[in-house]
Amino acid sequence: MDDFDAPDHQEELSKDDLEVLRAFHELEFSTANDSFPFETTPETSLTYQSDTDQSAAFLSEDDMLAVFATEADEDITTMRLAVQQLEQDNRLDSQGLKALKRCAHKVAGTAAAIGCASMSTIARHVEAIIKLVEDGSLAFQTGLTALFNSMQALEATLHTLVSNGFEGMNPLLELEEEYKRLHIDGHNAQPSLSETTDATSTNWFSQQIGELDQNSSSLRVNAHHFKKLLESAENFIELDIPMENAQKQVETALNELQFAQSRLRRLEPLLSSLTIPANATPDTLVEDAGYPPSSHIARILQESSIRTSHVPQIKNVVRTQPLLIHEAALWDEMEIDRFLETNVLTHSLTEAITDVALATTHLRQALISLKSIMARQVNQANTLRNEAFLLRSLPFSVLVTRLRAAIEMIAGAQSERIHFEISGETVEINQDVLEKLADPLLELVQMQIAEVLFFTNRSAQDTDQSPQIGFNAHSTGNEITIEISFSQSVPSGAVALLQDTVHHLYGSVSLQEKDTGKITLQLRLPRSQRMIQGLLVRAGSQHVIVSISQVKRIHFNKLGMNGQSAQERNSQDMRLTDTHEMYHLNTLLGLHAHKHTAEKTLQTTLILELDNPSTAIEVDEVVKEVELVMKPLSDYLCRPGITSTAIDAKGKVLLVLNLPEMIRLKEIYQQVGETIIEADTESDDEPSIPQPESELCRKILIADDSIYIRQSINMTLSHEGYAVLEAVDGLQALDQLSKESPDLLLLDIEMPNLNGYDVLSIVRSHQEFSALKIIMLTSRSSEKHKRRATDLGANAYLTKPCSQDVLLKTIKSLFEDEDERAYEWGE
Amino acid sequence: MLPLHGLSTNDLEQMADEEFWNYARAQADTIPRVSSQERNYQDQHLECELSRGNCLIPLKAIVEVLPASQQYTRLPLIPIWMRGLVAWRGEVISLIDLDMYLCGVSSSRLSGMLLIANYMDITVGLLVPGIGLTTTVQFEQVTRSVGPTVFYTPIQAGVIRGVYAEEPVLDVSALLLDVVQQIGMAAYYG
Repeated sequence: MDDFDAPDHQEELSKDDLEVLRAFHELEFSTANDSFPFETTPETSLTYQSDTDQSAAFLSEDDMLAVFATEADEDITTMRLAVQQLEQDNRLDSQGLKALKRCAHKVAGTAAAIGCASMSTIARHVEAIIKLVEDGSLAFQTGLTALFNSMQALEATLHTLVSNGFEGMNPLLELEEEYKRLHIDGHNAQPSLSETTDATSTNWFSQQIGELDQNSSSLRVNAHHFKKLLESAENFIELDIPMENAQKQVETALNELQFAQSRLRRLEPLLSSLTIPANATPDTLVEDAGYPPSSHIARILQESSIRTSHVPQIKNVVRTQPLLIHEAALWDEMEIDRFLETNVLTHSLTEAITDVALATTHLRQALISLKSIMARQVNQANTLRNEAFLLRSLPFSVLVTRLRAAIEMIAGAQSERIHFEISGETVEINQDVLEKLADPLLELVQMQIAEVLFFTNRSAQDTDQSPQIGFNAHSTGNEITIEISFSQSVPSGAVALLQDTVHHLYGSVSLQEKDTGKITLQLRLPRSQRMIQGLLVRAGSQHVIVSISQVKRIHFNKLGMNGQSAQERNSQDMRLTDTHEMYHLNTLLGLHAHKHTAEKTLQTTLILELDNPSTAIEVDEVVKEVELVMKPLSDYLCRPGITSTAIDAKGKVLLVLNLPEMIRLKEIYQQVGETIIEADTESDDEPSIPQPESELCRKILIADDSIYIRQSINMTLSHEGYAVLEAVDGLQALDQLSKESPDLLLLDIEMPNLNGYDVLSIVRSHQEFSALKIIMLTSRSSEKHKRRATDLGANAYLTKPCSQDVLLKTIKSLFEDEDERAYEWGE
Repeated sequence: MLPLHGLSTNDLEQMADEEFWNYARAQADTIPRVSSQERNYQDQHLECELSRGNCLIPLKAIVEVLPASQQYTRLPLIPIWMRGLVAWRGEVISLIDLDMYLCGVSSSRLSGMLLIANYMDITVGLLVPGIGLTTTVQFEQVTRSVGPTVFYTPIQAGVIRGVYAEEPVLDVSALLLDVVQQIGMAAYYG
């Protein structure tokens, strides 16, 4: 129990401070564990709802107020000490800050429950200021001043509450004035409660990278990656000159070609005006004419004929008259060769054709050069993009450190027994991916440790080898693989939670058991969530993309492939359908009615990287591998397993499929559909469900760190005849569950040691608690939390402050459901 | 002197009664300064040819008019009048068969025109068999649509702003909001 007496946030406080806190905690535990001294039945009670006439209570209003005031005073003291600690250290101290946040959250929730709106508001302001300071949106010193002012306001409000029986508004109003003076907009800055309380891991990662929030224009980045990014950007810019040169070459070649073409065009009408025999070719024109091609040759021939009296024979009658001798002499005098018009045109045509051919060659060369430069530019742009992504990356060691710290915190003194094996610490992982993985991984390892501490036989622990946990990361291309190995079995609930997260990241989880008994969880994830590296797959006439990280292998079974006979192929198909859950992509996409896969020859099948059961998706064709930018769909366009698209080079939209999600949701829809059908077909004549005779035997455990909440619920439930147990944190809740076996657990989320989610995961992973009803009772109201709790196995989710009526009705309905099922099964 | 615009609720709360009423009177007296050209533009409507008659769509809601693309991507769990998804200026938008949406029948086999309509941050492609001329709608002559008609199904009745020259005038904001709502609901209810 020492662990419970010394909450983690006190470790950073001074000895004196610790003594004060220890005294408060002792007071709390003595109050919580001893029978409460006011077990009378007063006429009225102060509960967390005003409709006091509906239930009698065990404490008077004053008594409850006193309980609340004592608890709030304790929390405010802790907060003040934490703020003082922050001031002394003059830096954001994570432990002190954590204590401050938790106490502020607790006060906000408890004060709201008792109806103290001012105190609740001030506590929420404190949460908001902490967040602003953490984000870097508010200067540390300004934040400290605001926090001190807030503490004063809380104390003053509590004082008015204790003195007058109701809280005064002035401290809050004065505080908000003070905020304005400090340029803090208390209303606008105040984040939603879920954001504030749920930001543990996110803020932690933000601190690692020093990132500011979206409102800030600054961003701190890894210097090494930034330098590389700059170099790549410079290289990219340098490509401008070769690009310009290549463009000029293309322009010159185009001009040259244009000139040659225009020359060719000019010759065309001249050529067409000549009457050239159809069988005449340019090469034969000169010969056919029967005349020498130049005046020089003509003169030689003429002189020769005079000398030898031999007149050269003229073969053909020509269309044009030969030049007279005196004319030839004139030509010679002008020193100009004499051409026939046809010869000239022929020559020009030959030259023009040669020019066009030459210009075409030049243009082709220029285009090749331009294409090459463009390819270099595209490569450089890809490098730039990858390096820009790396700016938001963190080494795997950051996550490992976080996980180790969590393990050591839970294991306490026994942490020395745990043996860690770590490799791949330097592998860079996108911060967004790390943020999303952190919580489920944290829960997984915490649950694993809690499993060892609470559910493994003590003697077995002593004899067995020390527990081992291994962390490994490596990257291949655009994929990152994270392996987490345990020497003992892994709770299925935690794996399911992790699987959901990984699937949302377009990745996959596989569980491998080695001969040594070691269990390894292998997570395959895309390096970036903005680019999709996937398989372009055809389903009917439509093409879609499937993330490569979700595909284990591709099973091709095309006709005639590898010389297989039809019988051999069918036997392979049968084996596949025997070992895998088969789906057809067209059916998943709703493109046409499902056709039973076992009845036909499988064409191409993607084997998805899913375990238990292994899943295979039949597709019409795997076209090629692609890498495209993902475009998230608007909310109203999102469909199960389809939240993003990509646009291909032809401007066509390609759906990016998250196949595990599609299958999971399809199964859920089917189950819901079956349930609805069953409900619809229920006969009215069926016997009514017998109501339980009495609920006196029902045992309910309340797990909440607020003594006020515990006691007020305790009174309400006790009055209704339930036996009530209490736990102040997650660890105590597990202890009570294993010892007392309650029927229902009322579970808060924000608690010291193990939080509500951890407890829920652990409980749901143990068969012995399968009948236990769990109601989450928390001030976290966002859908995200509700969904998560439901996914983890909570039966109901209520937000604080919650009316007595709602709480009691929810509890009754859960017990009635159980009775109904027991009746159906004939129990 | 109080500014006429940009006051927050908090500012209004802190005003003295007299200040508040002065401000309210000043605001009430403010006449929207819309140029005649702008007003004309606002009144301009594009005539769209549908299988059962024409309808008028305000030009101000139409960002671009394109020949209908032959390629679109089908999405599961969508209403019958949604053809699928198309890419427009690097954005993925839904392709709505306006004929099917309004009349329940479709004659446009992607051979018509694609009107890119926008309201707030919603952009959709409206597929119509053809388009005609633009018309200036005299709003005083628009007769209000009194609920569902034979021509349009009841669920779409709110989309018709009124009837002008025997042609229904569409309210694109209502249409887009309805379209978005129905597409969103179809994901859950098929």
